Amino acid sequence: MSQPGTFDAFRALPDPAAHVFETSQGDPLGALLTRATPGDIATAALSAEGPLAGLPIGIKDNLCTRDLPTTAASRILEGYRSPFDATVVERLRAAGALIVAKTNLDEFAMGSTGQHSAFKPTLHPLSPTHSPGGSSSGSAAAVAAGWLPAALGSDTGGSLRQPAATCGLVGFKPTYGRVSRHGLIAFASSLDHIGWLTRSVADAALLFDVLAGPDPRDPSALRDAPLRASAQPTPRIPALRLGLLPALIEDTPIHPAISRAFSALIEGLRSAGATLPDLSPAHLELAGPAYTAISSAEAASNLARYEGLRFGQRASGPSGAPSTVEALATHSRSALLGAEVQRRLLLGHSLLSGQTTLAHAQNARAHIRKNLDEALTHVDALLTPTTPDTAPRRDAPDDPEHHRDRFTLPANLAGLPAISLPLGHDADGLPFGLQLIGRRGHDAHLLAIARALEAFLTTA
Amino acid sequence: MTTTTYDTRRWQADIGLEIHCQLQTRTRLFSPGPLPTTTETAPNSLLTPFDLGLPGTLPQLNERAVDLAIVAGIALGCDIAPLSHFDRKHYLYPDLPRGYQITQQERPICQKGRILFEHEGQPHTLPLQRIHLEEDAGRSLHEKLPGHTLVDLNRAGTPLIEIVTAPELHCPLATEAALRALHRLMVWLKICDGNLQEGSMRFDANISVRPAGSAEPGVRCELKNLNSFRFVREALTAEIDRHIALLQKGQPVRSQTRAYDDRARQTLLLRERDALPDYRFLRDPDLPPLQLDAARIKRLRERHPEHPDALERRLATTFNLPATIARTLSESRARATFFENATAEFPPDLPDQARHARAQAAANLLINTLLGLLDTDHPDLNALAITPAHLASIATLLAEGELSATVAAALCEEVARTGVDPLRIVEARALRQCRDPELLGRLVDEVLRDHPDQLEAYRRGKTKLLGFFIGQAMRRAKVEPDPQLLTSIFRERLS
Repeated sequence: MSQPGTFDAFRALPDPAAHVFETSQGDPLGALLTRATPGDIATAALSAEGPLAGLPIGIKDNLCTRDLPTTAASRILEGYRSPFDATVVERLRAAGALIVAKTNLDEFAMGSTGQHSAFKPTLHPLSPTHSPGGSSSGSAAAVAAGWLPAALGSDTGGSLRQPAATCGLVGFKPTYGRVSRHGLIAFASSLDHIGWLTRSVADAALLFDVLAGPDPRDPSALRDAPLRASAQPTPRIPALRLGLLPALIEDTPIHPAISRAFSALIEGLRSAGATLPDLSPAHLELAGPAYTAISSAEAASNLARYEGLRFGQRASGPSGAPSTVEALATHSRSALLGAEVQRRLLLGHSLLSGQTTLAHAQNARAHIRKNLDEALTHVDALLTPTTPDTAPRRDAPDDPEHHRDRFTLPANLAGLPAISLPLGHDADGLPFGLQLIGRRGHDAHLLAIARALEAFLTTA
Repeated sequence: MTTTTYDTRRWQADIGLEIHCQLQTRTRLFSPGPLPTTTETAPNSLLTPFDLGLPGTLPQLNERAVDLAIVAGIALGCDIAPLSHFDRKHYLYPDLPRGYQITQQERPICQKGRILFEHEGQPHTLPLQRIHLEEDAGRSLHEKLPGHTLVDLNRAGTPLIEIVTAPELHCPLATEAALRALHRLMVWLKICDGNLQEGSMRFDANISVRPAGSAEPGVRCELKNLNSFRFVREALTAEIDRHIALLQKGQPVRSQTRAYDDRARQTLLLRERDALPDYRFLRDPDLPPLQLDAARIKRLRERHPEHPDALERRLATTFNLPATIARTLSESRARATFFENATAEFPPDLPDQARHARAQAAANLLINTLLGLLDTDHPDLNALAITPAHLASIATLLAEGELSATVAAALCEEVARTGVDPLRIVEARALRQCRDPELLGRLVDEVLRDHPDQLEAYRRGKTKLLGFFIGQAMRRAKVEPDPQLLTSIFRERLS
């Protein structure tokens, strides 16, 4: 499994695109939903110019592409072809990247295991009995397996950082609005972020420079031009101020290997001269319930368009064609949406009807956002493990209480940039990660800090 | 005049209105998709991926529509909200592409305000509750293909404002007057084209009836989609009568949504309203709050054109015009501008009386002749070949008695078709009336000499024969005589 880890190593291959097709043959991990044809890729490669020229990249299948179907891993969109490319896909192509595959995910990005795809489950490259984590499961598995140097994913509550951690990758989610959501099939609009999985922070920074920036097609996109991440100087360890969140961590049962490695990292950083104060922003314990309410309500709204009338698939009723629009929608949704999605939609609909819980959740979210912004005025970034555990077993029960999401949720609720870096492995060789949460809008700065930590971890 | 058939001493109706106005923008409220300009546009031919509700698409707010909503708010004296936001209103309907409509539920762009109108010669004020922005749905076509519903989304996303009034109207005629005043203002300000048949402006009315003097409001019914002023008046009248009939029989009025059947002249049940639909409103997470800075509102306020009522008053006083004429002129901006441009051609040192006479002549020619020439091919005064300067010359000749009213009207019509300078036509065809007292005196003498019997009869008191003499003189004249001058010469000779 020793594969090239950086863009440069991939570029050094005689034919980077062909490498993908050779190594992913048969797709034993269930990571890819569709692949471009080698012929199309060869044609695209001829005219590819720019900072990513010739690099093969995978796209989570909830991002729209013109040339490959876009399904969000749902039967209701089976065979759907978008008439446009997502802004991020457009920008990748303009930078010379080759879109080689659409990667597997939990249906409509709902789930954190990669087992809720309507088409096939995703397996962990290091252990077929484990899940790579989700919902960006296919992107994580394909990059971790060395098929691809990078893949795009989406992160609504940690869907990109969690599989990054459990697959031993770098997973970066920029500030909300820094990267256009135009072309991302919405799950929970106010929490959805596009991000990417790479083997190194430098690669993540290179992608940031290509993908970030204003887009008139997304009204929530930030209007200002971001700093270039690859041009930022790497800070020295003694110059770093990284905040710890002991209250959040103490409340959570954490895998002993993760605890040990995280403590050792803190020790190491302290001895190297970094400042690591304990911070206690209030109300972080409300992140789980707030996330559940807001994401379900927005999902119910965003998925209202999938009723089998205009695009995607339509299911007929038990006795042939349904007679009313309501019956048609009910049949289509019942037959074509998976159990996890249906569960969240039902919850979301009832929350929208009630409104009180939703108002409480929005209130809690506003507090979390304010308190995290305040905490970040004292430090450069916050430091936590990414997940409390390594990759989940594929047969493990679901995690409706969002225990696995505890460390990742706050950054989505607050719209802050966050990155997961490989931190270590447990006794079975399963990886885990550490997370840095940065200041709002300071994406390039966060990537520079991550580069410093990455270097520190490799040399330590 | 009143259309109410019920005893207003015994019953009171409370009427509130919801008016949808389609904003005059080229593109949709949340997408750069163009809007159909004619009814013949092929179905679903103008849509962007967002208009179809395709996955991955996001709304982009049309700032022009926001400006028009602000202008409407300014014209109606509303408070313009510095911060408003958009909400999703969920319902399942084939012509609603995303399963929700984007509207403003919680915080509308304008609040309060009023409609000023006249009813039975009295000024009235109808308070408003709010004006909000929202997108229109598409159209479902049920008849085109039997057994199928076809959906045309070309209308989906059309920018609308919904104007909601307080339930402070009490009779159908006053309601009609308020709506006419609002319609005139919206068209005048070019916020809405005002085409009722095509649904550019649509009215819903909420109505309840209670015993006069009762503080307890009656049970409310909603009348949907009244698409003409007449339907509003008739439907409200029919509905008030229906409520009273029920109340008099001691039967309950049920809260219902109803439509108006203009053939049967009665309202029909659409649905019961006991169970209010659950729209499950959600603040739209894709659209940031709509923040309006003071400079933008100020800029629109300064650009805000003269209110038609103010214009009407100004025209009436400046030119001493009768109220009905001033009102007709101020019904459209093009009309008023044409009139004002014509009056600007009059010499500046003209005495008031002469100026007023010329202006009245110009107004009469404009209203009675030129407006009659407009049709669907020439909807616009400016499409006619006549210029304001031409109108000014003809009006001057008419006011000075150089042309008869009939000749002036015919001349006006000809110039409107050909664009030829009216003075050249007048000279070439010698259209001026004869105003030479000597010539006319001779004509009068001839007529009287040739009709001795009638003259005798007139002298015995049959004064009606004056008309006969004038007619004879007109027939005999080579150039059309000025009838006023002719009449006064006859009077003089006969006295």
